[in-house]
Amino acid sequence: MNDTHTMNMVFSIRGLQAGYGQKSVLHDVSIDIPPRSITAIIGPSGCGKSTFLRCLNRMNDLTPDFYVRGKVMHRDEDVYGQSVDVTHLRRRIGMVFQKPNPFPKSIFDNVAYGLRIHGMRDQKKITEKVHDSLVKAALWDEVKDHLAMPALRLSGGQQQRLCIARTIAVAPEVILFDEPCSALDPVSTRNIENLIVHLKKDYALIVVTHNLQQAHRIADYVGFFHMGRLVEFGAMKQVFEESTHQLTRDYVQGVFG
Amino acid sequence: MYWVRGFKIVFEKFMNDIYRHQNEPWWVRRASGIDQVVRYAGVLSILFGVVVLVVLFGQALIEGFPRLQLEFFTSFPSRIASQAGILSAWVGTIWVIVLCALMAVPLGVMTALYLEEYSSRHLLSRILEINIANLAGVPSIIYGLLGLGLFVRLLALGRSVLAGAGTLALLILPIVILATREALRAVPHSLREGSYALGASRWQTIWHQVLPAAFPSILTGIILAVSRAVGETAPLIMIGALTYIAFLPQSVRDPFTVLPIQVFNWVSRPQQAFTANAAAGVVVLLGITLTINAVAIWLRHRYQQKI
Repeated sequence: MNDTHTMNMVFSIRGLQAGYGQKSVLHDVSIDIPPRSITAIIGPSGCGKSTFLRCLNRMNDLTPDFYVRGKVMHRDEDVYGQSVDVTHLRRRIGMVFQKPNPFPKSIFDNVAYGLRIHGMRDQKKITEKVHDSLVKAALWDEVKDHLAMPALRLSGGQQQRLCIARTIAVAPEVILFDEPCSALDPVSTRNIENLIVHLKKDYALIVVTHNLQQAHRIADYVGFFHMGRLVEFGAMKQVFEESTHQLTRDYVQGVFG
Repeated sequence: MYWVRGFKIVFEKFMNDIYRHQNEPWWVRRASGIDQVVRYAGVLSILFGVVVLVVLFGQALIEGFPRLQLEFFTSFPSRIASQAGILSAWVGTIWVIVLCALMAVPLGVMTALYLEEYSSRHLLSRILEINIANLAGVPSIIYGLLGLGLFVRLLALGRSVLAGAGTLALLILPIVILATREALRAVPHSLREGSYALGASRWQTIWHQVLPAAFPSILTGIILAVSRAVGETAPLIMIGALTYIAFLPQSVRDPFTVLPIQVFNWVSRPQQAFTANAAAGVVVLLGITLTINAVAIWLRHRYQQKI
């Protein structure tokens, strides 16, 4: 791969190794994540796909005994570099979790929180941003009349869209999704999937999922992890239909899971 | 007799519960039998606590009720039982407790915050944790000795309000730390992650998410600790709190007495009349503790409704 190619990539990862204490989870993962597209990370349970995702915004820093080696470049910035401000990094690399985790505050304050902690004080601007984010997250019509309601009273699917809204509010370039639908019913899942597809015109999206149909429905690119190694990475069609790797073929055909 | 009828009802219910499963196989009978035993053991345990409390409080109330008049609260102690009051005692208690809370709460909460949120889990923090847990179990008289050495002698504060409050603050500090740590630990990790994922710093996450979520439990812990401090006698006697004070403390450097010491003093007098004073003092002391607890419950309830 030449340099201009790498420059255009949202993430360019070389020789990533990671683990917890004595237990190594990722072995020598190299991958380039293209902008304005959906990259699905698939693989059986325990293959390291969540750990991989959490390496990208340094969420693993919070885990005791975690270690990481190799290079993770976000644009032209070394994610694990000495001079990196982690809070600044995480603002630009948003994350949505498996279980919806809205803050125990009002709907409005959930979205406004990110803006406020990054120094926005102008109430009018905050209101405007909250509105825009909720519209983008396809939640505005459902909550516009009760923005002061506690967010925990929303349904699971609405909570997850609220979490997406609060992530969008701080204007990230990338959004990481860690199995965003695994705690949701089919209708909510479809809503979130539509939303993710809709968001790709503005953001690079990386979605960890154990739902192969979901990867098939929404992904542009697919990375298949197995036992902590990246077995294959390529366009969705190629991985799902024309894979040359026996392991990938077996997995996407449901031989093992 | 009401209690005979009450006992009959409970007994009939008990027999009914036993015979209900008599046609079931033995393992169902055994399981339901254990269920019944645990249930009644639980009811009896609760009853034991409630009965003891009611008897204690009732006896103190009956004995002390005649003394519970306005003059009792506005009079200084006296050699004449019927003229003696608890003015200096309850004012002293409030001085000491407020000062004690002002010292112990910020120190305790900050310590717990550091241990739980900032320090990495290495050997040192584990040693600290074990030691704090041990300190919470140290007899209070030892804190009295510590207070005597540290505040009264070394810092030359004398037998002052400040020395008393400091001693009690040391005493409840481990309790505050442990309760706060428990409360912080109970905050779901997903809440912290949600905040960090938006680019919040550690302190922003603590201040805006963790502390508000943990606040009701922290408050409960603080109240329990303060209630304990309200009733402490031994460490204050050890640092030389006076038992006879006919003036109110004007500053934190003044001598003082507190309610439990006053009660102790009256109980140890030979004259029968002072026993009534002691009982009335006990009622006031219990009243203060119950009020503090009630305020805590009210605050917690109000806070939880906001979420």
